[in-house]
Amino acid sequence: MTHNGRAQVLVVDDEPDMLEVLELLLDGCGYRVVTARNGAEALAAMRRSRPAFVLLDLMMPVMDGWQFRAEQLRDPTLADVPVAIFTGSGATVRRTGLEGTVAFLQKPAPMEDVMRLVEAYAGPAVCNK
Amino acid sequence: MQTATALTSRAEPSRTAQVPRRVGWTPWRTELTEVMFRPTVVTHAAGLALIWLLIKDDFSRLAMSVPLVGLLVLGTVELLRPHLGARGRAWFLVAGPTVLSLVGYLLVGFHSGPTLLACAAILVAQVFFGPRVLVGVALILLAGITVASWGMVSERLPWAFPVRDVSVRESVPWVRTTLVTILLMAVLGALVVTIVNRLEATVRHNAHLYEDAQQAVSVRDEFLSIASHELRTPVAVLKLAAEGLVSGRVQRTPEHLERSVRLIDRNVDRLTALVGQLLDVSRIELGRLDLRLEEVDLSAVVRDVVDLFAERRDEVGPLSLDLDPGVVGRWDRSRLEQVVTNLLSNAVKFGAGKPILVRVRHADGRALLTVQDHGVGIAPDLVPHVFERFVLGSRHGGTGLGLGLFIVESIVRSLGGASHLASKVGEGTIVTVELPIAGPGTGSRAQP
Repeated sequence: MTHNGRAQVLVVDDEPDMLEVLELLLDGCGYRVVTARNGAEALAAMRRSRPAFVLLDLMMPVMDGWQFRAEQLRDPTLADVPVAIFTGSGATVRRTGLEGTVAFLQKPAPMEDVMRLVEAYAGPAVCNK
Repeated sequence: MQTATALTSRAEPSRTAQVPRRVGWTPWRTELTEVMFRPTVVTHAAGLALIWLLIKDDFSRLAMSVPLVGLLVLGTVELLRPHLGARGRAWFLVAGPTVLSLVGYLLVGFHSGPTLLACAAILVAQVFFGPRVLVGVALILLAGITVASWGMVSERLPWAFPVRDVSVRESVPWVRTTLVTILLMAVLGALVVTIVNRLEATVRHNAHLYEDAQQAVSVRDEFLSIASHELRTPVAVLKLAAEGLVSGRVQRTPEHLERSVRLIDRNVDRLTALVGQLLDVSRIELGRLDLRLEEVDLSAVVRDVVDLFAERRDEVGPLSLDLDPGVVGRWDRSRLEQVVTNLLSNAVKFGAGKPILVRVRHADGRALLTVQDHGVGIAPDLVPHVFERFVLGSRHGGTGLGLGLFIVESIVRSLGGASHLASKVGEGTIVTVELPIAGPGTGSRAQP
């Protein structure tokens, strides 16, 4: 779960800029950030190294957020990794299949909301202010 | 020019075009004549008329009930027509009234004689001619003769020649009475059915209007949800990047600062482009895509756009240009830039990093612009719809609003040209745009 003492956070989003900005933020606060561009990449990354927390987009090509959740829950070694949804879709988005996720954040969420979640599940941030 | 457009590009890209056509209004007179010969109409009108007459006088209740039942059988057969086989229909049509009229003839004498003859006419029409119209005519005869023969006896019909003594019926003008009755029954039946048809058409028309409205609302909803999803993503990146800088959570090294600023810059561009696309779509839908026509060198436009791509993006695969010099036409420079930009960004987006070819040719008073990638390709069922809105967007596993090709096609069409797309999954996509050198049609409308 930790790697050289740094908690690992997996960010899943098909938008490269979103991955980069979260990497910039979280990396600066002492987390080890792993990125994936769809659910399939995310599963592979989780099997390589189990993260402390997953920030998950929903609408992605290849394997979307719902399919990712189903696959994750099917794998007993990964099922208990906390997952928060971070999506640009509105309140009307389908919630079935997302049960058991720890939060539902809508883009654009304030940075503090994202940080609070990460801190809650991956340990306190050590930001170089 | 127009023919080429109609042949190759979607004439009406909006989704509302797929709504089924509404029920048309035919002129009253056409509808009346058509309806007059409809067997169902005549038989049921006749049945109703007979019921009315029976209620008024029970003189020949028995006699009248026979053809009445026959007529109603015929009407029912007509209603059941779609569900009966040809042979079943023929037997029903012939056997029902014939047997009943025969019984009636035997029971009450001559009253049912004409009815029997009419049934024979139906038999002949059905067996030898078959078509609906003949059956309709026969049924009108049947109904008219039945009513008229009863009227002549009972004096119940105002236009009937009164006959008190059945034995002298040869001397009465039964032809005239019968004809008038037939005519009146046909008109009455036609009127009733026309009114019913009108009501039905109105109901159906309203249902279609409602469906149209529902569809428009759902298209609008879909559009809003896609647009807001697409707009939220760059805004979220901007917000996080800016807050990261302000709060100092992003490391203040030159490298990290530069990355943050580049992110902000790129996403402001993305937002601007999205807003531009949305504005273009609303302009296209209002038919207000303004064109500033001037002499434009297509190859130069392509080169400019490619330079911009090379500057801004690092993930562009190998790009080869094959540009004829001097392909100059009367076009709108910024709109052409938009066309090239959209085609090129699609090729980059779906090109899987493989070689992209951009070609400009001059042929036969037309300029041909081709953008070819060797990427993922487009599913065959989507290919016919690629020039419609949203089709290649996030709704179908792509990214963005799915408006790029819609805008390309609209611009090209307003410049008097046509767009084509061919694609094979796993092999890539090739988009060809044809533009008349002379610009949009001389004096013709420039709007899509």
